Amino acid sequence: MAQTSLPVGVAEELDRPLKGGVSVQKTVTILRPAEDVFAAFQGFALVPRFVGHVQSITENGPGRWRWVGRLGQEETVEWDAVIVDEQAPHRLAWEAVDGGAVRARGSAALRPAPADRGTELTVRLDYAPPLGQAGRALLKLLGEEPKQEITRDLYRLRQLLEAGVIATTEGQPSGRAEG
Amino acid sequence: MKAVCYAGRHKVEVRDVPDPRPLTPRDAVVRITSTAICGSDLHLYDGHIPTMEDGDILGHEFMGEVVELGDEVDNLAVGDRVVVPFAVSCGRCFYCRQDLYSLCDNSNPNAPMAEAMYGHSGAGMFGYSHMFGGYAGGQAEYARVPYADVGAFKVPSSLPDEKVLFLTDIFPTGYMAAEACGIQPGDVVAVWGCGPVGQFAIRSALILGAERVIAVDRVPARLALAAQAGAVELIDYSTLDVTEELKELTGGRGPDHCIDCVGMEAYGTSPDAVYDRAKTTLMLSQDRPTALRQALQACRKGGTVSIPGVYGGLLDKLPFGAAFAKGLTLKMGQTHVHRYLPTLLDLVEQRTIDPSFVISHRLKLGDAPEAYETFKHEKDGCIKVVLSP
Repeated sequence: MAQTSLPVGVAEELDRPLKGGVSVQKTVTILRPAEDVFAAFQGFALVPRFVGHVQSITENGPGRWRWVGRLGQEETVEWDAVIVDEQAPHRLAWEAVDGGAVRARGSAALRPAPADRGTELTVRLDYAPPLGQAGRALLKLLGEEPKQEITRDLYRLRQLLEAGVIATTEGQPSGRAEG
Repeated sequence: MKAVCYAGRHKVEVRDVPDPRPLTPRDAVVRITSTAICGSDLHLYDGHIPTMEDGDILGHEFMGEVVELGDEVDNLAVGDRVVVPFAVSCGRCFYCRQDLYSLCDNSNPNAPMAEAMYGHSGAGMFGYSHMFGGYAGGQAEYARVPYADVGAFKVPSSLPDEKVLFLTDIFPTGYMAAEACGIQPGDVVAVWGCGPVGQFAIRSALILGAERVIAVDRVPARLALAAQAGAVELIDYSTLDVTEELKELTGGRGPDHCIDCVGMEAYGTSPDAVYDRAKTTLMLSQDRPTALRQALQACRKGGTVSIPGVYGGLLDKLPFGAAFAKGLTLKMGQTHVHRYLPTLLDLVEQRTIDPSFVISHRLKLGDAPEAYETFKHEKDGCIKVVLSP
């Protein structure tokens, strides 16, 4: 994996919204040390398990990652992301590249919660127009309520890291026709 | 298997549904031997809790025998006889680690739904709407128990189902409500509502050292059952002015602590109660807080108003000024059943209490539709219904 550490000021620049784009941000507290939370993002190891629309993330060259997203039951969409900032266990930032242009950015920022309350994790996603294929797909994947989507994603991460399993009712019986 | 399913307002049906199976490595499947209908099931039945869907399996008071276990449940074995708390709790989050199990951070897969309504989401619950997780309930032949390593408690074979079934909800609920009062020697505790939770609150208050309990209800059979607990006085609110009567019975001081075991569907005869019924009928407000209003008004200065009765949404015309002026302490919330269950199981084993005293009706699972009607309308002296599959 590429290890990059940006000069002072550049990380802040990365946090600014992409021009004319949309941003969504969510913070959760997870009752685990920052190292454990960071490990979920390192190499995007756990990301496909807790992000609803991501099917897989595999290494695609040095510091480059191939994301496969689910658009529907059958349809998938792929894009590449590069890591642009990695300061374990405090911050990881990545950019989705589409024909050389940055169309989307993501970052995970971690800081200790007070006393023994674990780690505060802020995840932020930015999308820029013109969206291009990857950007459009990402927006579609996030649905009409990206804040709710990212909230569900981060709660699933908390469930995994704290409880060891993701809370679910999928596959349970009901008295509805579909079972 | 057969399961009691929600089929719309005032309608439940026993339907054939698929058998449950473990969905995560921390799950168990239990073959249910006894299950009960809770007063809070009537809130669902009456359509007061949003996000119910046709076909949802009801029930959150159940026990049975473990028939299947996920790989990570290492403290249970197939064949174990267990009782299952109504709240679904992960046992490992910030809240569970503080014994605040009903506030679990991780067990509600639909947490954003509850957050939209309440700001934050508590634990998921069995058979209690999609906002609280959409978990299939236990009025069925089998149930899946998530986080079974913390959510299923073994019970000794020497105790029959009827003595341990209510450890799943109503006994801990009444007990936690009484414990929240911090009862001191000489304290008089008033309890609104002599349904099952009220009955357990009354007995718990006495176990915890209350001098006397004053029970408020209008149903003769319920008041009579309350009187059997010991040092209990009765107020029939349909014939007496409750707050005045409470003052008279407590030397003008008012009860030291007031417990509202009624919740959102209070039935009253006062003008405010009639007004509330009109408003909830018109969907202008969700809850009818008649009992809570009286409790706030009646409680002595510096006392505690403890609220195990369930409230779902907006309350109208609550005398908050009285609560402030008298410096009351308000305690409330869903019960942390996991916290209380071992202690209360001990009380049952020591024969301090036999929880089966509340049972008025023993029926089959297939009788659920009429059982709901009987319970709702308090027919045949109905206080508590237990169903066997």
